[in-house]
Amino acid sequence: MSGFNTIDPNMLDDWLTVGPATRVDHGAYETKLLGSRVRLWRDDAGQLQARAADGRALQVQQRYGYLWICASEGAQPKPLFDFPEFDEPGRRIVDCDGIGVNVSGLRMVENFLDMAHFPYVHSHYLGEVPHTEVAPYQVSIDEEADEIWATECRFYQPRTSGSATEGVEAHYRYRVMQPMTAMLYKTSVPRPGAQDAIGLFVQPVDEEHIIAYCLLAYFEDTLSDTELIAFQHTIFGQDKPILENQRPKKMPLVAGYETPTRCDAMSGAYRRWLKKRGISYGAIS
Amino acid sequence: MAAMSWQPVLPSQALRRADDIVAGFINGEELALWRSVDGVAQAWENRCPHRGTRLTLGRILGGRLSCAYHGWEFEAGTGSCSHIPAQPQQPAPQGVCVKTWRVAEVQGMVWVSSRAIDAAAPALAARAEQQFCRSLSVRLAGEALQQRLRALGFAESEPCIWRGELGGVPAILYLTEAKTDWTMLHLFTSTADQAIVATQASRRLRDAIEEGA
Repeated sequence: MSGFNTIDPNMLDDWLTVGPATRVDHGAYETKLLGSRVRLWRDDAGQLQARAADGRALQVQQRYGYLWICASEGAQPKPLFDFPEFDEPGRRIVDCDGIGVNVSGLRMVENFLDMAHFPYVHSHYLGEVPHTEVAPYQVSIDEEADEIWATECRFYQPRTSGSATEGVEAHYRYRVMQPMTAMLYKTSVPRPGAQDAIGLFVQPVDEEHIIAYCLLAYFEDTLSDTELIAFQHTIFGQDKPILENQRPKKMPLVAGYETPTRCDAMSGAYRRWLKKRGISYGAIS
Repeated sequence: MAAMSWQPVLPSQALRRADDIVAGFINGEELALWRSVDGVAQAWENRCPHRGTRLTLGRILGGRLSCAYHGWEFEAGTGSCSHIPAQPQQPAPQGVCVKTWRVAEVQGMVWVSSRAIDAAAPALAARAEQQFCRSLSVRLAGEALQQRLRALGFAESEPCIWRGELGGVPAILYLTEAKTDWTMLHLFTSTADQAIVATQASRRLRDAIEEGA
């Protein structure tokens, strides 16, 4: 027994992050994943190693500046999702590290995919009353990669990023790669024709506790790392009390328990995609 | 006490008109209590039907309760959704509703009952104890709590209402069965001077109840 408190293959067979790669720079690092302790370190040859609470060796890799564990026993894990912007010349990679949130990771990802909350939760930053309308956008499934996309999203933002000096109609694309990881692409302020990329990597500490990590791949050369990180932390800090006050903390996938509307098309697609995968971890189904 | 339909959950004065949204608890359910523009107390399930956000995080806008997450607005009385800011041109879909509870205000307390129970609100005589002191919670409920209250010299004068003395002044306690092992006590006395005495004496009340159990 590894002690992981789930039999959900959506969690066990997926690559789950346990934080930035710098965690193992100074010796062994212990954290909690799927309700159980895991331990990571670099051996004398510099190779990453990871063990479950029972001492079983776990599959581990470092990618995109982050540590990823596959908890499954034996099975050959699928490749980690693509994040081509990470290696694209001209982009700055800034790691914002993580914030602990007392909620299911699925609720966190759904919040990340949502524009309608901008004028209320991120007032004067990512939205502002009376600019509350969510214009129709496109949702599609990439069958080959088994990913969800939302495209043609746009929203008026008084301060879209740390370097914004005036309001803009920001263009967004959203992408869900795994139940606990997503990306968004939004209009770059210094380079309006291009899109900055933000990755959300969720570490499910247990079903109702997560660490939400945020990684930026930005076209940005005016702001310091600290300024970019501070802006993201402000935004995450605004979401945290909302997320921690959702009842129940797990995401209800039962029909009729929560009521979506047209502008929740992305959230609806995410929930249907989770249901189709038979997810149980962090969900009520 | 478990069979009680109506329970006193909050002093009426805690709800200012179209202003406060206060959390309350009854039989394991969590409520969002507020007062409409025309002064009528509202007791709603503390959960937005859209994405489950606690409505106590919201605010009152134009007499409606607006949820903190997406600004959905819900009407006093029915709890039905009347405005979705993300699609302002469209009427809100029919039937999107917060679960509401029956409310009555008697003796300066907000009383709440499930809609499933068809009993009239309690008819109580006006009382002398008009001065609200404080609310406190104790980790005890039902018969065990009643025994402790009797041991401390209190007697049940009407359902959910206990009378006795604290620090030598008259004290009246309204009891809400918040959860199976957790009761809210709302303490009143007669005058402002007595309220100082009763509030001070109440600091030991929780320990006296819980330790004696």
